[in-house]
Amino acid sequence: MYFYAVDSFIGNDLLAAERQRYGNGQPLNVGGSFSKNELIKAFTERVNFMYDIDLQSRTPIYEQLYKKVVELILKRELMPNDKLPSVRELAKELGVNPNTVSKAFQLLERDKVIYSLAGRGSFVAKVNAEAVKDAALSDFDKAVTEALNAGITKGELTARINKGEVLS
Amino acid sequence: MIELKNVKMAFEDFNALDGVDLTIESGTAFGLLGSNGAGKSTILRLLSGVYKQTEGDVLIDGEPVYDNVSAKQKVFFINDETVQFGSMTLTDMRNYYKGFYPNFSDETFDKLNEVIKLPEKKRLDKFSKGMKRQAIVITGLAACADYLLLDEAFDGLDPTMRIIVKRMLVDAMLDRKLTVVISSHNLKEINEVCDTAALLHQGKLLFNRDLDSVKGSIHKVQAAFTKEIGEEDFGELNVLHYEKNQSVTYLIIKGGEDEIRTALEKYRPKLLDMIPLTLEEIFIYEMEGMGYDCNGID
Repeated sequence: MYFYAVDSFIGNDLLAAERQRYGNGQPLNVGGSFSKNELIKAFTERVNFMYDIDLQSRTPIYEQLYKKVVELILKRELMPNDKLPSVRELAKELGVNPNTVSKAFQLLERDKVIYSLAGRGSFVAKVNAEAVKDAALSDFDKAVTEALNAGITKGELTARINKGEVLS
Repeated sequence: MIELKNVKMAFEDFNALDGVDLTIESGTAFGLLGSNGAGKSTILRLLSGVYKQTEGDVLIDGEPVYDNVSAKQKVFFINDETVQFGSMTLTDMRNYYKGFYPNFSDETFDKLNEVIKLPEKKRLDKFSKGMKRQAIVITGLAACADYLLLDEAFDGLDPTMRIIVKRMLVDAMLDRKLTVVISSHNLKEINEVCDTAALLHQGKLLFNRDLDSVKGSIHKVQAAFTKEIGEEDFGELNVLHYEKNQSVTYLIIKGGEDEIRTALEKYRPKLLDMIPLTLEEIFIYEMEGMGYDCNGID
């Protein structure tokens, strides 16, 4: 059961490092001459690929993961019925506690953003996109009300949206 | 499950632990934080049966630990002092621990050492500090004990080893409900690896909480109001710090974002910005709130 850790560490990250170096489709030189630092770099890049979160952020890790999955769905990088990485994979790649990842998955499942099949993993749910958009819009409405209360004008808010400051 | 019930530990006239109550659930990663001399290592030594408590109970799965082989076989202690068995080789050390831990996995050991490549026939006292550390870490992981205690765990490990160790901990936590207890004064490390943390100070437990609920529990607020508002107006909020610089008020308030926002919006602020404190800042304020000087906790 432990070997997976070591194997996947060497295997996958070597693969990633190889791809980095030669591009996809090139023959793989697994077991090639990569330094530890190169492995770590490859490892970091791979993690940053999709589910990157900021471990030092003020926001709890599980909450960041939750938001990340929702964001990926809204950006259509994750489509309905796409399989999510397992708790194990994510915990390892991010270097965090598996209980933290489970917590994010449980909340995503509770909110019907994902569903899970026993023994097969977690998948993106079908009808969630609209619900998630509604939630985002209601957050937006709340923020606008607060901004207006604080004396910011409608014009300033529109200008801000048009300038794209909030759309990064 | 690990239980400490009103545990006191005295060394002559020094109380290293002064009445500690603590429960650590199985399958979690628990962080023990505190400055030097706070009592972190004493707790780990009690849990591994190195010390016998002066008072109270130290239990692993309901059994007392001291002088109890069946409880001690469930615990592996990775000490911060890397004085192992000087005249032994790595193979000797492996065999020594194999005799004590019934689930010791040779395969895990070999697999790990394939990555680290420690010499197996060389005397351990000829190892560098980092190598000694690696030797005990791979032995600890291969021992497959239910409870892994790591004293200043990640000190002295290079980044690759850190990643390997973290990943192995993930597997062991998922596959066999390993419980990890890590002592550290490095909040960053604890934040990444642990789900619960306790802060120790002078032999007492200051608090013991789920790290996620700690985050977002205190906010830094910057506000400007149209009318004159002083510190006394924030009476209903738990204000830890108040400062006013011309028209802008700076506050540190204990509470969730919504609660604070609702309370402050009554005063129709022209400006209202808030950010949650970092974990580090929260710990410092909590310590100060309890009247402790936190120099020495980083």
